[in-house]
Amino acid sequence: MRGLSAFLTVALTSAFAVSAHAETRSVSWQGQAIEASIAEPTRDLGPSREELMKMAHDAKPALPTRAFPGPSQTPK
Amino acid sequence: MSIYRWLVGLAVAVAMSTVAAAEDNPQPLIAGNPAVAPLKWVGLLMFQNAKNETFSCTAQFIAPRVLLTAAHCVQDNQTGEWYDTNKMYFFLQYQNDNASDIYKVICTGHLAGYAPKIAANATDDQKEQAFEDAMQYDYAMILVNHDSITGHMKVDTEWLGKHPAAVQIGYPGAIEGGMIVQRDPGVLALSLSRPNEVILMHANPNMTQGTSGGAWIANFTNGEAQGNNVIVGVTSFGNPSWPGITFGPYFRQDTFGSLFDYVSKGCPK
Repeated sequence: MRGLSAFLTVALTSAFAVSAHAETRSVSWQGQAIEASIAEPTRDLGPSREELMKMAHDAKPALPTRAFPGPSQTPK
Repeated sequence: MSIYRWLVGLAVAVAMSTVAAAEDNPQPLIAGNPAVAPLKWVGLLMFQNAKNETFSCTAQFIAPRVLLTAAHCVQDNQTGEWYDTNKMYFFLQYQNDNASDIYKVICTGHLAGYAPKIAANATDDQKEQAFEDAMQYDYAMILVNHDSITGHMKVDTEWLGKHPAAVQIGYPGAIEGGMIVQRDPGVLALSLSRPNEVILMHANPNMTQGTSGGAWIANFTNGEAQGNNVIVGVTSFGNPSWPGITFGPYFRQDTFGSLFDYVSKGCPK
């Protein structure tokens, strides 16, 4: 019984730990071709505010497909 | 490619003449104040790629729950990878490791023109041309999970002949480590090579990575009267050959309006 309980605990934890996947779609809206990505509405609360601020601090400035000049290579 | 460079060069020359005329009244490059308009509607957009690398762009509210940014901040159009909307957050009035509010993303969308469908047998030149043309549509909108606590900015479409200048804003990594929103005035010019591309000639070559998606704001002022602080573009990309010049999409009313309507309704099927 204890073994079954442990198995269920691990199984359920693993199931919820799998990150939800965003859905993408291509539509025609008012005659315009649009592509979109939709977040999983039931995803959990995510990181704490403190964790998010730390992530923002450490984030690297995005590089577009077309290059920006050299000085921008300075890491954040 | 050479004709493209020539055409951009011509546009730059036209813009330079306007810059020269404006030099009698130069505006200093200074850090922006996120406590007041228009920067109180601006913030840092954070997202992750499939390798769990975290990146930042600039975004701003254009409606109570809708942000405007660059399309390359939500999807890589060369690989097709969408950045995970489940791990995308917006930090309003971001400054020195603080923010007035943090928003989760409901959905994001861009015009299909940003992600060109390229034939398998296309030549390298054809591919290069397709991706260069796609940057005309390098803007995206994002629906977030609750209303802006500071309000939002207005957007002007098809504004040629109306706005000669604008202030570029954003969080460039090359200035103060991207921790402080910057503003940089410039002169607007139409790209002569593409119908939906505009150029901003500004003062600072360091307004680069991290400013992607940052607004180009006409009639920039702390006052919030009608007609002030109007978005006329967003930062898309720069070119090493022309530091101090930024390229951005020119908003057409039909396409911009349809994208706004679609995203504000939650990106329905």
